[in-house]
Amino acid sequence: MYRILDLTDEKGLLCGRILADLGLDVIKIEKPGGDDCRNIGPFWKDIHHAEKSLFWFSYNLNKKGITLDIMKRRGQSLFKQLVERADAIIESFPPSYLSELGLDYDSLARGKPNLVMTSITHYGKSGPYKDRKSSDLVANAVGGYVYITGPADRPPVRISKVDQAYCHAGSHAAVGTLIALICRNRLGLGQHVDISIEESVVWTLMYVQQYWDLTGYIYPRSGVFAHRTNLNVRQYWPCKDGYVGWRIFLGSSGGSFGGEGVKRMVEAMGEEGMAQGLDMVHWEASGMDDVTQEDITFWEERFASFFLTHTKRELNNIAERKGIPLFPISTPADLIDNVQLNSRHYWVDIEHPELSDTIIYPGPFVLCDPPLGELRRRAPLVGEHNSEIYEQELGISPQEMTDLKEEGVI
Amino acid sequence: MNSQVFEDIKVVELCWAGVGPIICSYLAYFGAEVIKVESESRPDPTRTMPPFKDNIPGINRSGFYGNLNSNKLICSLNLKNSKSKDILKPLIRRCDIVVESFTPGVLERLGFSYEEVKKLKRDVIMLRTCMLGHSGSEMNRPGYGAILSGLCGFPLLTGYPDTEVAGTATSYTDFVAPQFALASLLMALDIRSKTGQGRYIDQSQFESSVHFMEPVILDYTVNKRVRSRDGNRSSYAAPHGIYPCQGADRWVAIAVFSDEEWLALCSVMGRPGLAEDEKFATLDLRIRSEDELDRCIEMWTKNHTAEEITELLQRVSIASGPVADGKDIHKDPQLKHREHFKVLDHPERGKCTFDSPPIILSRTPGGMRMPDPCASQHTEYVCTKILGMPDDEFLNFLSQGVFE
Repeated sequence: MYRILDLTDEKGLLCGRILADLGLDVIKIEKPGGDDCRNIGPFWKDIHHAEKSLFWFSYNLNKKGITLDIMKRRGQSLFKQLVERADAIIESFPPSYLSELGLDYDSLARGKPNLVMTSITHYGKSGPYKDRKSSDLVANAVGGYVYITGPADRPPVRISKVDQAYCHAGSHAAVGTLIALICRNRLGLGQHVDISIEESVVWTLMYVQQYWDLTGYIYPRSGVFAHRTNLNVRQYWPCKDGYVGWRIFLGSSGGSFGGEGVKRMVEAMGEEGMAQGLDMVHWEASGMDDVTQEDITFWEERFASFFLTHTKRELNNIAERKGIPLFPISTPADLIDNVQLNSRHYWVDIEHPELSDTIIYPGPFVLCDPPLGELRRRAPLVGEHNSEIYEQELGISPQEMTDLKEEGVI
Repeated sequence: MNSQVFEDIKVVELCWAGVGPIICSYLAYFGAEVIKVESESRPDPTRTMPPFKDNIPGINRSGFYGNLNSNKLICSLNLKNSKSKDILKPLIRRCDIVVESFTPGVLERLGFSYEEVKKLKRDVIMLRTCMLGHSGSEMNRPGYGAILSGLCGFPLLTGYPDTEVAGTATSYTDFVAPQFALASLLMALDIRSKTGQGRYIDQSQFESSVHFMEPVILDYTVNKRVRSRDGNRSSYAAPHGIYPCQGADRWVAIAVFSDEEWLALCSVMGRPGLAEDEKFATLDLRIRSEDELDRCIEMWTKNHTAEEITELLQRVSIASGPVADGKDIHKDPQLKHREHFKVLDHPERGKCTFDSPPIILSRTPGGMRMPDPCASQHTEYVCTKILGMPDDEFLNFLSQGVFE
């Protein structure tokens, strides 16, 4: 089982989480007293406390936790002992931080050529912007995602409440770390994996870059609408108790994703006498290039009226019955109640004995047979596994542990 | 070292649209041989979607398809033609990984369930990815990336409190789910190299993607709170937002995390009075008066370009950066340094750009070797050179419509 030393902060926590979920032995290393990102909310029962951050819980599930001050000499020597027994290090410090401590990849790989190190930085380990100060919002902005997000008549936005750029980077970091570990099996040598948060955002733009490259068109934001070069097609619709996702798509290809699906929607509306203006349209015969914005808007008014008379659940039932690709825009409550997730037993209960609580968490991100890992334990408390790692594994005596604590090394 | 990580890995891709092709192109970038099975008469729908080179549609002119399918060989097979099995089976027999993303049930009906595939290759790693997974009461419901982004709930977190939900016109979860599938695939590959054991991986893109909003979900399961969209605000930084700059639709992102940074910002803005204003002295106070705070910032930013603001704020170590549009990202010097956009010569689109995965490996960097294939481009090559099919046998299949 691979051992991973996780030195990341909020910019990379998801990396170690993914690896831990796959069964790797991930040790989160925090500074004594706990990492600063334990101050990121939301919090358990809204109590702002280092052991009650739901953000921390989310992205450190399945990891062990130890404390260590790598700025101190003794801490660095302990760290090197840990590195000897580890397969990979993941970190998200500013680009030159670890080299100033003599703990960068080149320094450590000299003594351990099969070491893998994955570094997550805002712009990459090198380059003209490598020392620029950034944040999740800034990363989403410079990476092109903000520009295409939100309503057209307001300042553009990012997805709020959870730092998405950091999630993207963390997920790619997990992939990169595993690629390097596999490569090590072939070459006998480790390597340095360099993740750029900005670049991770650019990766999500789908075709924005090709729109400019191939047609000179700067792809705009369009709020609730899906945008094709001359058309805005609504994809999120208000309904009686929230929103649903669906869109008009014309043509005969794609089965229910195309004109066939729209026809079925119109049939459903017809069952309630609400298909006027729609039932004579040949949804499968034409294509998206054959219609005008006026056509789309005219039709959308009618679909909009229909959706407003139904709840998410009712519309989802109609969609399921008729095989239409319409789905609710889920609130967290909808997710917990989601029939499909529950039929796959997705939600898991994780014990938090210190809180006398059991918390419902999202389940495994894939299902494998044979299984790859499981959701075993809650995120670590500060220094929870100090004794296991330092005393039992490294053989440090209880007296020395006391000294290390007093010196602020752990 | 020129050797590519996955140069010994062979992948059969039975995928359309987003997640499946993205997973396979990621593997191909790092050297895997990916043979994409696509039917000429029912091509991957992204071939029919814009942007097209010079806005002229064509089956080989889509940059959407192109960006998701570089480095792959293509074998055109009409899977509805029963004889196509005689080509798909040997492809599977020689491969390591099968990735498929059809609606549940399709592959079974074609005779290629996991059980059948395992008979062809005992230690195969088979990844099946779809929106809702390959079990469960709603598994037969078809879906796609943009609609999954909605089902996960991302639009509820996007936009302003006084507007409708919002999103992008991209399929957000199509760029979230692949990484989870890849991590599992790679772990499976690694274990197989040591134990000889294959694996079946069932990815519900829904189950993978909600992990990107896990704290919001826990806020509900623990605190019964439903978080909603809040523009660009943050609970642990203020000012924190997107501010208008000189020029049409030009904006800058600014994020201030500490009181020291706030004072530095006031100094750069030339507003010492703001620095002394008790109303904004701490983070909590700034959050309380955030509307007024944002107006103060806007009054300053709108007189400068986004680049000027960024320069000034970087000098005092404040997180900042211009909001880049589709043209700006092509000009970004840092992305150039990372060689993010690779330029290749495509037979029909000419020189065009492809995105690279955002990871650089120091020893085995990966690379963009081939542009996306034209329809049917490698069918004969795959059959005769890779499968070693004699020419007359190939012509026989051709006459029976197997490659349509």
